[in-house]
Amino acid sequence: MHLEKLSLIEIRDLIAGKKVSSEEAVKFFIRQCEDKADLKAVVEIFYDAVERAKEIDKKIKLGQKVGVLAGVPIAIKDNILYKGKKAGCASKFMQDFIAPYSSTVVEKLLAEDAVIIGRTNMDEFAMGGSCENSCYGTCHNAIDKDYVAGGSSGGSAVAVAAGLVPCAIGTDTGGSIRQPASFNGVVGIKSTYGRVSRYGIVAFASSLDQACPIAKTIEDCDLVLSVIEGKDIHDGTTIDGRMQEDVKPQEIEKSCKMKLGICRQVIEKLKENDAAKEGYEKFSKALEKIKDKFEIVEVDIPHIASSLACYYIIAPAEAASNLARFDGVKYTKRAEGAKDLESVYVQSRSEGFGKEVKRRITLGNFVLSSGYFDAYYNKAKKVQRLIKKEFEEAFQSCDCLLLPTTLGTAFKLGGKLEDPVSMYMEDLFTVPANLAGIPAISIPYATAENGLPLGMQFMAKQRGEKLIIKAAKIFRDEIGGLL
Amino acid sequence: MSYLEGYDIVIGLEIHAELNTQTKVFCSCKNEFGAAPNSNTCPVCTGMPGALPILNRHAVELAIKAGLSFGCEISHYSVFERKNYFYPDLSKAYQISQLVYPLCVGGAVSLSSGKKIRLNRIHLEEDAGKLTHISKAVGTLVDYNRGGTPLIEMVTEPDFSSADEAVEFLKKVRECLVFEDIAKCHMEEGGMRCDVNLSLKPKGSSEFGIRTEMKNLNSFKSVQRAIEYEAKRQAEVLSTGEKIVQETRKWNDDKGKSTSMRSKEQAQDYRYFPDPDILPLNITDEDIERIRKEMVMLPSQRREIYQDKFGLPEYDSQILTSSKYISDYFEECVSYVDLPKKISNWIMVDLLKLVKEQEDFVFPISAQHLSQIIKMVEEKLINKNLGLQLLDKTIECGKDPLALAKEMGFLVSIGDEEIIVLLEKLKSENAKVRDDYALDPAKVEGYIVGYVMKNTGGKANAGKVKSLISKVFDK
Amino acid sequence: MEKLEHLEFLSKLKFPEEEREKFEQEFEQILAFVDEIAALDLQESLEKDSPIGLRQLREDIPCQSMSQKEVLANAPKQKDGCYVTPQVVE
Repeated sequence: MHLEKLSLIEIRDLIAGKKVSSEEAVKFFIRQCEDKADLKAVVEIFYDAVERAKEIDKKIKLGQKVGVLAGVPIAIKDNILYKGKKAGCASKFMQDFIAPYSSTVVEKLLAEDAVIIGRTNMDEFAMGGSCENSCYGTCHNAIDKDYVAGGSSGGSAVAVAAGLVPCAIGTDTGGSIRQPASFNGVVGIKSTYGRVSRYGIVAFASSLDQACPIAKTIEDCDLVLSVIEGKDIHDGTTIDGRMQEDVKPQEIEKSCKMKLGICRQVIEKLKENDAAKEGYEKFSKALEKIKDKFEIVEVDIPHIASSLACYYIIAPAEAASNLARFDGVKYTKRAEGAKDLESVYVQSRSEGFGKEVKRRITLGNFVLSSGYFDAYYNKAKKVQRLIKKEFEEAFQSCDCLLLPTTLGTAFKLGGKLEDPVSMYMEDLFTVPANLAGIPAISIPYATAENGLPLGMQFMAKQRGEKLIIKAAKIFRDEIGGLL
Repeated sequence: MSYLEGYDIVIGLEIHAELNTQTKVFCSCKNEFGAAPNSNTCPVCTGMPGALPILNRHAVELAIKAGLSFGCEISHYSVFERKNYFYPDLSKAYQISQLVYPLCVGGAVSLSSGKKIRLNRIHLEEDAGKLTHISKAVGTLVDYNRGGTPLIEMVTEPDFSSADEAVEFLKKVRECLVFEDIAKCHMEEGGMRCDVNLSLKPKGSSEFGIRTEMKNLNSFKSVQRAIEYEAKRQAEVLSTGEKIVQETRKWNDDKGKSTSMRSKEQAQDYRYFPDPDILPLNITDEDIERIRKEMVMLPSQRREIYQDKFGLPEYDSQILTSSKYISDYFEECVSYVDLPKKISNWIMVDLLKLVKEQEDFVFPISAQHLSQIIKMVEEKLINKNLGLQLLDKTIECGKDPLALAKEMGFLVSIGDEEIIVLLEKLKSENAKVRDDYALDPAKVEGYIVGYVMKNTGGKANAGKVKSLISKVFDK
Repeated sequence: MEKLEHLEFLSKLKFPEEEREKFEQEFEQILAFVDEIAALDLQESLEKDSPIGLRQLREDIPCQSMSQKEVLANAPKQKDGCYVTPQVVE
């Protein structure tokens, strides 16, 4: 049986129908992880998952009520806490850290009887777009090993694409789920800010972070997101209401065509950027194919292009503060030979953090520092509010926005390591959704000359998950299925 | 004080008080003093990765109450910010506090002289953990039990011109916070601490001098002494023609002097920014009105009523308003028996000695039961001695005092016959009483009643005895 | 760049001599990139984020804390139920 080709829902149904046991499924995917260890997508396999699978099999056998993810293997990103397991954030500084409590996301997965089989590789502290900044070593693209996995949730995307697990949870602060999903030809969703609890997920930029699924199908992402979403007493920024109820039925079920918005400013960026030449062609072709199924309208989001600069002020500022707690006193390695308090701090942090993390901490402290705060941080927050408002206005005239996930396909390993700004450009089309706090999904829709996939992105107003899911499904069916 | 001639002292205070909540301000750990190290802690207050702060509503309400007590304007829009700096007592390497949008703005406190001390603001923030310095070899121990407990910080304008004013202000503030159950203000446990900013300026000048700051003074006496010492020190420095260095100074209460804290190599830059984990807070007019209604009458208002309406001496009203509990207890008693001075005496003489030295005491008898006993004594159903015995018995078994008095035989009334027999016995045996009575009956009435009481074990009704005296002695 | 030293102080980081020049160069590039924001001319007042009400806050009811052992499980150094740092000089 080729379980690696099946979707999460198909596997779940096989387990529920007792065609395959959870134990068999879990053991199969564990073997997959072992066989393809050279991808460096999964950094630790939880072998005790087999025991949990057996328990769930017993429940199914006895006809007891089981959860909607009963027996299904799932992997989690290395920054998501699962009590008793390591959560290292792919950082040398934290690689021995054992989670003293479980994140809400993990609790919710377990409550629906999912089996968590391992943790996936990432860029250190979720900072990076290639999964090359990892203490476990570089994660490779699932389709071509010479190319990057994308990041920061590269391990999660590769694990799904390479058939190591049917679904993996990633985190998305500026595109960290959608970009690697796009690079590896799988589906990745980022929910409305506050839809999924951040409790127990190591914070990068608190006002932007969301944990969400990466899977092979839109339906899988929908299902897993519906499991992990919800108001949480441990996260004061979570929102009330479930996504099923957040969009009025007529908005989803209406018989007339959905309105897809094409943002003029995005098209301009595509046209002016050499790296996007092929991407723009494919995008235009796809648009041509679907024009009967959707009503296409042009919209303006005048400051969308400022999103990236805005993001690279707000995210590092929050990160500088969030990562200050890693100091060699409470739960991270203390530098040997540090004699006084100052050197415990400085040496431990300088040895513990990698280059990109240090760069962002420094940048964050710069934009917050006295004399620069108003010009950078405060100004960026204002721009963010403006962008949010422009999105709201755009969604007055369309149901969803349609735009590419990235300028082009995955790039060669090492290609952008020495050029931070060009690496940051990877987030150009994903970051706006984080700044606006809106939901976005990336689905694979075309293959480029180099044989690598390209992703299409749908965005909707806040709480509009069901809108992007519906639009993505219509789009997929019209272009003849996912890759 | 000769140095100080020619200078005005300018003082501003920052007061921190620990709020009287069950739980910490951003997590559900107990807000409690004296537990084993790091036993009242959780992922949130130890700053573990992934943990998030969840604001305690009661802490916000208490801070608003403090604001209302001192006439502050309560902000409809309030924001929590991160104050970033590294220190081992700060688990997250930032303190959650308020800067641009504090909960309460403005307000004032009047001193007995009539002078008004203006408040700049009151905001809500979290306390830091406790450090214990062992030795160079062992190092410093870090305990986060206190980390994350709620504090209000009150900042005054630089309106004080003497240590006496500062201390009077602090006492007033403490009284009010304790009375409203906002804070316990146990100063010896650090439940209320004060930072003093002080500068001198030439008399009459409108320009402020350079100020110094003394942090964490935790008794009225050390505030008094620290201010007096620092004013004198600054005057001495200025008299030599030198300048005051803007610095933080540490007050040493044992030595009675302050010393400069090691100046930091780099200026602190706290990089305040709104905490993205805590959404801004909207306090509505309805919220404010609801909280205002929960507030009680302040001690100063109560004292006025006690003296003017109840006719109590100032001393009594001071003691009765020393805590909200005593004051409420007293008022409840008055609602049962309208004898304020008698009640005051019983509370001050007979009840307070039972709870001496206790913190957060509760009287061992309900106000209703005490009132019954006082009523029995005042109606002369029993004498004071029996009343005290009855008090002890009521405390001991908690039963209704009237029933107890009957049970113990205190109320077995002595019949007229028996009283008459006693009176006749006295008349025949004591010639002096007889003669005195003949001269002035009123003069010996007290003695005669006392005689009967003594011989009946206090069980006779004094009124009854009085009415029977003439029957026997006039014969 | 004296700036870097101040940022190292704020960040509790120390960049080794051989990395400083390159770091500063890259840092300047990034600053040039985000400078677009500082240069934007905003017409609208965009001061505040939307707030939540008092009712949405947590009730003041204690919950079970963690055990001392669990709290200290990842500490590099501990003694008598406490985290340990080199002696802090006041």
